[in-house]
Amino acid sequence: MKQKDFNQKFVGLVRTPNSVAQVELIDLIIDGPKLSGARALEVYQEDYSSRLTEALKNTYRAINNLIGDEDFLSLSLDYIKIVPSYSSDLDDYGNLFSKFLTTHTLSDDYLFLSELADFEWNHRLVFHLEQEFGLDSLALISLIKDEDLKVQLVDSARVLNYHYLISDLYALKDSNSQEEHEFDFQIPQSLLMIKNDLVVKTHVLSKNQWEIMNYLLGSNSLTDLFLNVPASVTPEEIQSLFQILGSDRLLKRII
Amino acid sequence: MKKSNSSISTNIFGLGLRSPHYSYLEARPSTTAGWFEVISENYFRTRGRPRRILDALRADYPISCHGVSLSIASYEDFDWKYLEDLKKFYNEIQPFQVSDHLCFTGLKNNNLHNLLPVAFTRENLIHLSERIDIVQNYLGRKLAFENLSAYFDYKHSTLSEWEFISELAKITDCDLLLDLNNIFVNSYNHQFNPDEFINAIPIDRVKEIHLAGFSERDGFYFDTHSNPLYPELLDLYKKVLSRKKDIPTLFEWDEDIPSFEILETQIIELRTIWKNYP
Repeated sequence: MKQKDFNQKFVGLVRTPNSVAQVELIDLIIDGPKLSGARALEVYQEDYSSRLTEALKNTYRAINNLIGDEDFLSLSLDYIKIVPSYSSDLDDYGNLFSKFLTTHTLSDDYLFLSELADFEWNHRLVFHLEQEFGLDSLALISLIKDEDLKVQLVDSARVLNYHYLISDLYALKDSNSQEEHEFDFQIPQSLLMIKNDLVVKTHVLSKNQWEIMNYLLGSNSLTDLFLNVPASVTPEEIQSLFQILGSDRLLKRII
Repeated sequence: MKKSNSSISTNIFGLGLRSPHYSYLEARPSTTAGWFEVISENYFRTRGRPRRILDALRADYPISCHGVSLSIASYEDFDWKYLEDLKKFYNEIQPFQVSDHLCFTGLKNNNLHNLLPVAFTRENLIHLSERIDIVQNYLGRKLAFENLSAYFDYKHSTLSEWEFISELAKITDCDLLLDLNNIFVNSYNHQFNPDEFINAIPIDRVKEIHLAGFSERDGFYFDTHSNPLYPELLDLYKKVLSRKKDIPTLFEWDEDIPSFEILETQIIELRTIWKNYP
């Protein structure tokens, strides 16, 4: 067998064990004095699963801690079976985990899994981004009168909207997983995730603040926003939101 | 503590930059390491803390860039985006050494993230030579290629590993990275004399040495980089020293990584051996 064909078959076998390919490959390798050919192939299969599981564990620490090692391993193995790694960097593995979890049976027991995975993946992305600086508070105030001023978030920030208290669940990532965490997580939560120097921070947004952000990021000008503020929005909500946006320099002009 | 960022002549012993030591190294302490090695791919897409630490470190220490995803022994076309990232990274970091492994790592649509062996045949020798030429020309510099730890041998290999590597270096003018742990682990698992490997390798092409602690399971040695150096490894290192003394040498620890101070004790031990060696 040519090396090219061996490489193809070997990768296929490591990913999806099957006896036909195994027999074919074993025939091409030497039974070592310490390890048989069959066992050697198994070592590579085990290695594959454990490397990818470890990568998922590193990114999805909160999920791992909340559901425990056993369930996390079974979840990882299910994911690894259907999603290969395309990246040269092992740490990139797991970008489809949130989507995968929407239909996994374990999500029946842990309703928040997919949303928590989405949060953790975004956390990872923002962590690796350079902090981008948008308009500071003074610039923002001076530009508010500009009727055409439209803004967008800097690249190192995200607005996230969930059905569950995701930032509270994420905060349990380093807690003792044996402890019972009794709290009602079935409360919708909107978050503003930002890069602040080297760390990732999240601000919890009220429903009104989330709507304001959505309106702004939907290519509406600041002038439009102030003319169309819903009656339920309090001045404090607007003030605290713009304080964050200005002091952390989270908005940039759309040119 | 500032050390020359272009010369390692005064301290040949290096350590790998690993995330558990970020906090310690952020304070920029004086260390016993003469240089640091980084895994290139881990820094391609980060502009966060890992990259900031690397940038700070490279102001104080020479850096060696070690890759794990070149897949030089693949039979697919190169991942040109990967090579572009690699070239850009080398230009930014200006490492004193660049390296990867003599292996394939999977297929483009399925990276196994493992270092997988190829048969030591004339056909593969030609194939790898061509690919090494392409990569070295594209990057505009020589690469050092590392010998693997492999858990099986191919029946149809016609050359020994050291013959294969020596010929490859001669044909392509590439450099070599000699991983003594891999040689030792392979020699035990596949029952050959490691001295034969050490003595046959063209020592002047060896630009870096790797040392690490292996682990044992069911009578088989695994290249886990998870333990201190064993006496057998140090004996092998002395044999290399008897052939050439001043090769930059890295002590690696990648699983259950201990405190930085523990890694430094290994460097001190290595330096003592090195100093006392004629």
